[in-house]
Amino acid sequence: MARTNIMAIGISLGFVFLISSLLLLPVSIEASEISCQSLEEKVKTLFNEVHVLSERGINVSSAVEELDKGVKALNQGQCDKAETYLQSAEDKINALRENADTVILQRNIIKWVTVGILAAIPIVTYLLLPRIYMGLWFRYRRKWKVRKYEV
Amino acid sequence: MRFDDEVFAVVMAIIVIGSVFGIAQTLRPAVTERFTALGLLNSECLIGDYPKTVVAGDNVTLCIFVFNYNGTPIYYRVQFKIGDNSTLPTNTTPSPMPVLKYWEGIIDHNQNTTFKVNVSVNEPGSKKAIIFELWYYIPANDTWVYSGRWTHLYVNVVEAPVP
Repeated sequence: MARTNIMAIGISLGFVFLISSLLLLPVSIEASEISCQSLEEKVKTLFNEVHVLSERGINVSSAVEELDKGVKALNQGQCDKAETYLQSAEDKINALRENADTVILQRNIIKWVTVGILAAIPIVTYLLLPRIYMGLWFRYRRKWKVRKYEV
Repeated sequence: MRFDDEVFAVVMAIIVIGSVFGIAQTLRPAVTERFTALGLLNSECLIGDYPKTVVAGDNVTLCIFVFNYNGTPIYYRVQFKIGDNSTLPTNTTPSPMPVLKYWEGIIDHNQNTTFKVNVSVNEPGSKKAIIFELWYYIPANDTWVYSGRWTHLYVNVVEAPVP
């Protein structure tokens, strides 16, 4: 008797599960479509951020690679795969954004130091070249003996 | 030999020119001429051996080449259209024909990508143009803009043989 009751409860639970799954199926399909559409917007947002960082001179190639994979997965309707790639791209963009100011400062320092060195070369050459040349000229002839030349 | 003033002047001139050139190279913008490129390749992603005759409804495999030299990454879209010699795009206007398919991707500055595409022409006819146009996304306006780059292939489309 007890076994029959357990079986009946099991069957009814299974039935309820099946019915609820069938009822929820359209909702999940709709949710998937919405998710895909939101990913398209996310691609645009992330691309905008990549574009801004790139214009500031940051190397964004790693984020671009992930974004490209995300876009291609999205075009093939693989929303889950696309989401993974886009998340990875977002993480990389966040990391790039955090370091952007330091990278830009370092690059500017290197650039202006290079310009300073290049601008200083002619001045330094003008001041030092004759002295260095004369110093070398005398050093090369330091063992020479000088005598008066009589005509 | 003592240090000659004329030799010194020549040496200084060379050094000054070299220094100015070096400064100009350091300060000039990284990209001066911005452009994108679109190319059409055959099914093996090589130039040449393009199909001349295709069967209506059958898939034709081609390869698309996209190159970006805009200074920043681009979010591109290659659009596929079918037309004829009166509906070809120009450097400023896209083809008026409807978009039948498109492929998207993102490429960095000074990078290119090559990918295979399968297209089909359903209506038989002679000298049909398989058109590919390059569009790209402008984040500031949230719009897709025609880049002025396109490529096309004329094919004769024949009816499928009756079995």
